[in-house]
Amino acid sequence: MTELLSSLTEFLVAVRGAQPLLLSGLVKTAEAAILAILLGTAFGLIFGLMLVYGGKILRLAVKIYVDVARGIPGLVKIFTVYYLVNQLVIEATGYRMSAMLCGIIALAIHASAQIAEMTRGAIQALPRGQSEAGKAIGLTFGQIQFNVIFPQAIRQILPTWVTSAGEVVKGTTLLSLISVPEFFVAIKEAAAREYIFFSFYLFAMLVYFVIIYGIELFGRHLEARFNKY
Amino acid sequence: MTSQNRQTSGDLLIIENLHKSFGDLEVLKGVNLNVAPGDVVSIIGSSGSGKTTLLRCINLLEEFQAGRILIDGDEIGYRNSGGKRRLMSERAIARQRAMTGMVFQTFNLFPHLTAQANVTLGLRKVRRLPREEANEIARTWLARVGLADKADSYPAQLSGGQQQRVGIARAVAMSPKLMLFDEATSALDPELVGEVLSVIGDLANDGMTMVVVTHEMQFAREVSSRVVFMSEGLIGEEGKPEALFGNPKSQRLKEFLSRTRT
Repeated sequence: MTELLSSLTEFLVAVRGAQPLLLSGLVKTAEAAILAILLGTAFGLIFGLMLVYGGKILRLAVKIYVDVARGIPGLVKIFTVYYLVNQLVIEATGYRMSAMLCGIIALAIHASAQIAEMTRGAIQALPRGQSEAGKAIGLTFGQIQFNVIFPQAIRQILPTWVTSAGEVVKGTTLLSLISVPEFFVAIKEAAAREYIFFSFYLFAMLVYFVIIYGIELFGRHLEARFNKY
Repeated sequence: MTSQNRQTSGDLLIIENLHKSFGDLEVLKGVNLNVAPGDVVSIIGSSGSGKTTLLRCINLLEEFQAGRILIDGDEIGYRNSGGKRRLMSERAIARQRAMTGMVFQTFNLFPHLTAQANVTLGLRKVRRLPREEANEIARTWLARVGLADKADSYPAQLSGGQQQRVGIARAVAMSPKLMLFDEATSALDPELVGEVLSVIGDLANDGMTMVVVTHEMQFAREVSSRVVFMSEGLIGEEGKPEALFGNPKSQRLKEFLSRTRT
């Protein structure tokens, strides 16, 4: 018992010492995750609409994008953006994207593909009579989407959206491999510096769980709000 | 209302030589129909005769390949530019659709909105009325169809007959010039048909111009000012209900009536 207490105290002191490092890591992780989720959601919805309403060529192009993005492991996407896409951008514009930006783009690509596919599915699952009823009262295409289609499709999209958002957070740990100083890098550094491995990794586990579980609770809260009918 | 295509004649709805195909299948083969203001025209005929397609062309839920439809003098859906027939912009079509109200066989209420919100959606977004005014109109119409106490109910909480009455309120609340009913009672349990037909009958008595696709022969006979019998994509016979039902001329209509008579 006293042994446990003393090692806990030792760990807490170590955490305190590593606080700036851990905090900046956590901020990086949050930044990457939030931006990737926002970008991924925005593009995912747009691509999903293209899959449903686009012309033949547009649909095919988005379908290829979605299939390729979903068929490549996350880490490979990150390396592809960091080395290949970045190189192309440099040659075209002379601008070098930061590792962080590359990571966000790679994570957003993955999320957008998932969200596009679930948006397509959710919209196509609605009866055609819904948009026809909207048309019949004189609503325009955009008004039908915002007032009739989205509010119904979102119920289908939300549960999978939560999963995708969680995947993005998990995916941020891979950004350490292109040297983004995110939370897991900070944990590794702190653990090595203080020479306390077990507790630091346990701590990391807890923090990631809290974030991802938090997203899930948020999703459930939203679902309940949309489930009132 | 002004429009280049505006034509003046007594009729509210004019359909000229309407042709519509789905792929190789020609469903409407040159339909002509005129409906005067206040007319209640019932369209009867066996399934596959093109009744529903004709109705859906009137508010452009279906595009059509040839012919013209005019509502209150405005040509619907297409314009001629440089000798070519072109579909109008999506927005222009949406504006034209607001001239007609449509009631669907499957109700098609918006399940995520209350009965009242189903009615106010078009009033707010299309007619751009302030919330209070839209709510007022919605409550008035819900009361007219006997659902004053169901304003806050969601469609899933209503019976089929109640849902269809909300559907009717949603359509007429927009003050359309013309109401279209597409087999409005076909999906209802028999004991719920009466309440919906009586609402439609009331509208007819109020002078609303209506085109009603129906399988309810009794209703067509009692409420219509004119009955149109469609057969194989064409209007086979038309006339006053007593003439059409009492003294059918064509063999097709005779057969159809003998099949539907109970």
